[in-house]
Formats: sequence, structure tokens, C-alpha cells
Amino acid sequence: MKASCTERRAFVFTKEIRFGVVTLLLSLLPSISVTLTEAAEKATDAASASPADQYQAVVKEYEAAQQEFSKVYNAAKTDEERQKLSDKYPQPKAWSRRLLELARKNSKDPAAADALVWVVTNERYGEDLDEALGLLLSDHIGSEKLGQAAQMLVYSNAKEPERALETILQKNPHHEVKGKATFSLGLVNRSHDKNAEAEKLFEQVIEKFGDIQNYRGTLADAARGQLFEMRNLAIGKVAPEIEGEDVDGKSFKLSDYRGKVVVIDFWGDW
Amino acid sequence: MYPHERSLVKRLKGRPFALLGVNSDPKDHLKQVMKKENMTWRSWWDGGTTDGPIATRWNVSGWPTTYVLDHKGTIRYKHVREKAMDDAVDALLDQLEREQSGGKQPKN
Repeated sequence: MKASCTERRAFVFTKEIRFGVVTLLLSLLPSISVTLTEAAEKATDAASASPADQYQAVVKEYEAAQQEFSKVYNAAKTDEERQKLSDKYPQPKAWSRRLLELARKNSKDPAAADALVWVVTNERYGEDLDEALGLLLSDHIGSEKLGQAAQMLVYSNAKEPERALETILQKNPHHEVKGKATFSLGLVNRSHDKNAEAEKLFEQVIEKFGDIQNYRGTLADAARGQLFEMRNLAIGKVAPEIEGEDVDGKSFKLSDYRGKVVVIDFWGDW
Repeated sequence: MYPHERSLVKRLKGRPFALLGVNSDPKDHLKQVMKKENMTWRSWWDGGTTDGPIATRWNVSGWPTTYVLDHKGTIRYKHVREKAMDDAVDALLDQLEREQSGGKQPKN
């Protein structure tokens, strides 16, 4: 379920960037292939570049490939064309492999942590994800960059995400990383129906890590949302009241519909 | 999504059922799509973003998210769509209507 939500969001993102990127790309079009070549040359010119520069070059190259895809996708005129193109979305694998290589060769460099976090963020499953996670835990366990990796573990199919998150919690000294790992561990527990453990972790987030910024709002907001959902929106609970206005500004309430079977559908036209 | 919901609402016309939306689109877009898709059911307009007050309170993180409530307002199903939504609603309606007619039966 979590995975499908994320996919859905990724699609929303694609749609959102459609308009902006199209106009931008139309004016930049001739320069794109040049950028790609430059990035490739830069990447092969590895000997002289610092690990940080190499990391930047690979990431930029992937972003250019994504933009190139968006351009073609947005130019497609029918759903059928778009459907066909969706298989051509640039899969991160080739870039992940290069970043893994970079991280193996420069295990002491902070850029290696960036490279591995990128792999953990972009790979959903497989040996590259598992290797990147393993290297992060063995070579970069104290890095302040582990927060994002901890967040992504909830949505990936990495091996034993609980153990990875617990290791981060034990060994990483950074407040933000610990907070994100605690929240993620709560989510993982919840997804396995370990509700008592999950509640305890969400309480801890509110108590100790509430100030940390999350995707929207703070980690405290997110943890309160989880606790509210677990305690008030579970099957068997009476649904909380909804009061608001329809599209014409007329107020109505969920309780107006008592006595009827009700479907509530959170939706958007995207 | 819309064709399924349209047919569900049409099929259950006259029975104790309501489909209620919580919509995250900008208001003018919601107006257009309701007209274009011939939506006869109501939606709360949640402020034009996915961070609206209702979606936030209900901790919604993916769209669409659905809840099915019985006639007492108790949550009985979550995240059901298409056929699973039909089955859930039909089961609750049958139960409700059996209870209602069951209450009258002793007089027969």
C-alpha cells in the first residue's frame, strides 16, 4: 500500500512538472544533448575530479536523462503513446552502479555517503540497494546525511529495514538523523501491525524530536497524525466529524448522513 | 474511478447510501470536473491542496484514500476501490436493510 502511494505521488510530480518543464525545455532544447555529453566527459575524466565532483557529475547526468524523458513524455499526444513511453523512464540502475563504485573506491570521503544515500533513495529493491545500505551502515554510520536514507527505508524493499534503523539509532550521534530513524521505525512497525511498538516510537518522536522538519510540517505533526489515525481512524472506531463547505460554499457535515452507509473518498483530479 | 463511482451512485439510488468526496483540487478545477464528469454526489472542498484541513486531520498521504462507514458512522472498511468498494457497500446495505425489515417482521 505504501509503495503504491509513493508511485502515485511520483506520477503527480510528473504531471506537475509537465507544464513548467515543457516551456523551459523548448527554449533549452538544443543544449540538452550537449549537457549530457559534457556530463559524460566529466564523469570519465574521473582521475582529476574530486569524489564530490564525480558524485555531482553523475547526479546531474541522471537529472538530465530524467528531463530528456519528461520532454518526450510531455510531447506525446495520446494516452497510448504515454503508456508506451512509461517503460522508457530512465531506471537509476546504471547510475547507482557508478555511484556504488565511487563509494567503494573512496570509502573515507564524505562524498561516498552522498553517493550511497542517492542509491538508497533511488533504488527500491535489489542487490545494489542492499550493498549501498550495508556500506552506509559499516563505513558512514556517524554521517549526518543518514536522515534521508532512514526516511527512504520505509518505502523500499531493503532487507531488514528494522535492523538498519535500529543500528542508526544506536550509533548515529545526530539529532535529526535519530529523529527521522525513530519515526521511520514507527512506520515500519505499524506496517507490520506492531501497533504497541509503533505508538511508543511515535510518542518518543513527539517528546524528543518534535522540532525536526519533515516533508510537510514537523516530525511532531507527522507523529501526531500517525497516532490520531491509529487511535481514531481504525476499523471499528466511530469516524470523527467532518465539517466543511462544498464547491458552492454550502456547509455540510458527515453526521448529516447518519443512518446511511457512507463512502468517504479523498480524491483529486490528477 | 469516475465511471465506477457514477455507476455505484446510480445503482444505489433510493437506498440508504451516500458517496461523499473530500477534494484537494483548486476550486475552479473542482467545479469544472464535477460538471464534465456529471458528478451528482457532494464533495467537501479541502482548500485546494493536499495539505487541506480535512486530509491533514485524517492523516491522508495517498490519493485516492477511501473509508466505508456503516449507518452508525463506524469505520468498517478502508482503502477499498472498484469491486471491493461495491462489495463492502453492498454487504453493509444488506445488513442494514435486513435489520430494519427484521424489526418490523414480528408484526407479520
